[in-house]
Amino acid sequence: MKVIVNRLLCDGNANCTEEAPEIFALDDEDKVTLLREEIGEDLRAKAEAAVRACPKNALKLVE
Amino acid sequence: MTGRHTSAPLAGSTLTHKDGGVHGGRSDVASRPPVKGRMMSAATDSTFEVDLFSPEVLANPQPVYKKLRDEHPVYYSREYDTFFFSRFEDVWNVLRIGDNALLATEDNLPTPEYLRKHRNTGAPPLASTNPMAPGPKLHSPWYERMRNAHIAPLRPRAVAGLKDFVRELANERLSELLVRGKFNLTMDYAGFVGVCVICSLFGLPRTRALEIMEKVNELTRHDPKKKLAGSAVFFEPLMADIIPAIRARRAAGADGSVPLVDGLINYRVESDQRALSDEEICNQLVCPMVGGIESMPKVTAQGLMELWRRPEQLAAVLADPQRNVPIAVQEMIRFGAPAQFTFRTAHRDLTIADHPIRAGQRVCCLLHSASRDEREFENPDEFIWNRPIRRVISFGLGQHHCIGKHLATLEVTTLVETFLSRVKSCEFVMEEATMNAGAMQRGWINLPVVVHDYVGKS
Repeated sequence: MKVIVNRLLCDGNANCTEEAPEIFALDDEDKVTLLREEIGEDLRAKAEAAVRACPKNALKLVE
Repeated sequence: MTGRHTSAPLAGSTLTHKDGGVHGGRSDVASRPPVKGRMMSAATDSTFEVDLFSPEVLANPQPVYKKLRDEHPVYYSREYDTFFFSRFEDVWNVLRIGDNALLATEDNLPTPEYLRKHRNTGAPPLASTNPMAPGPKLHSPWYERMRNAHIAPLRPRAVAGLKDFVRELANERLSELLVRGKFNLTMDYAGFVGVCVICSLFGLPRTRALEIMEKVNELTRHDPKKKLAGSAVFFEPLMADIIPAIRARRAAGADGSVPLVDGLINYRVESDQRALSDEEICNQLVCPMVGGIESMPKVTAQGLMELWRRPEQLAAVLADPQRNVPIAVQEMIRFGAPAQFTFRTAHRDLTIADHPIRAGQRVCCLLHSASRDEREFENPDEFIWNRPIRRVISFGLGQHHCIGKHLATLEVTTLVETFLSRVKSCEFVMEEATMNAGAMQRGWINLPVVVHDYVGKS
């Protein structure tokens, strides 16, 4: 499973970094950046929560 | 993506099918199976009609919102060729629809006259990008390009750096007002601080603050005897304030020290490296100026009043203000956010909540109704400072999610903290208060408060 990030949409609200700090961080521009390419099953729930929490709808999960 | 939509061309079909989904729970609207045999919206129910723009509804919208949520959750108005969504879950899902399917090309706050006059037979033309149209009307990726060119000072980390500045402004202003004894909590206190912050973000001197605040408030003030105004009403009058600010930044070199303006001055159009004109930049900055002056003061003033009205809740917050005020502010925003709704126009055929919507038809998300939806919040019409708030809809969502959300939240929090730390006893003079009952903005524009006792009173 992977997360796809739409950086054009990202406002840096940081909801994803709160939901899943293992997966997401903010870069120097305050835009989302991924800390890992592959998301294991152990982080599925957190990844899904982060996708739901993004107010800009900038994240997607793909299997 | 929870806001799923399917492309459903409906050649020759009408919107009067009877087996649309009656959705009542929290599950995904579009994926919920239809419940047969119940009629769900006015498209199928000729006995119910309501005009959300009528003076009666504007004067007291909550009962209508409740009726819509309970009985007509997707209400179709023939008069406006618009589908109105009133439930939290639906509003949440509709606003998350992206990919240029729903756009504010016809304005996110169109007037009823415009809607009556213009019936689209297909998707309306996209907004111009040369010259660059007002930001809210733009489609992706232009909408995001413009937004990214001026959002830097409004991102969470930049906003956090403003805390001391806002606190200083709030304290300074409150010191003047406490001596006065009686003042308008909305405008004299919260509004004044909000507009000072906006002046600083635009590189304008604070001496302009009162004049700009008066102008914005005049533009948003709704007179029931006059026609309703759309957001277009802001553009021309505010150009007179914003264009000189842009020119001043150009003259000063636009070195990035006023990033809200400088970012747009230094932006170059991707295809031909064209720079934006003063007017095009102004088109992008009207929205942050109005947003920064209009909504936050109403939330702050009403929030403080609701808290003060409930001594047991006030005492609970005061037990640990540093921890509790930010929690209470979330409820103040849910309870009192003044934006009532936002419109979009479909740019392709879609199906939302089992309703086919043709390209050119409009959807309207009733934001305030969503915040009062019993399906999302227990006792939604009660102010409960520490209620669980799982999801926030007051700032909108998706492409147009409020660019100033973090600044507004910081300002409300700081203004409430400052007021609570200094005022020991006060009284709200409700018989002198004025409610602005407009379609665009609803809230107390004059909320007089008499302060009887405060810290340091001699």
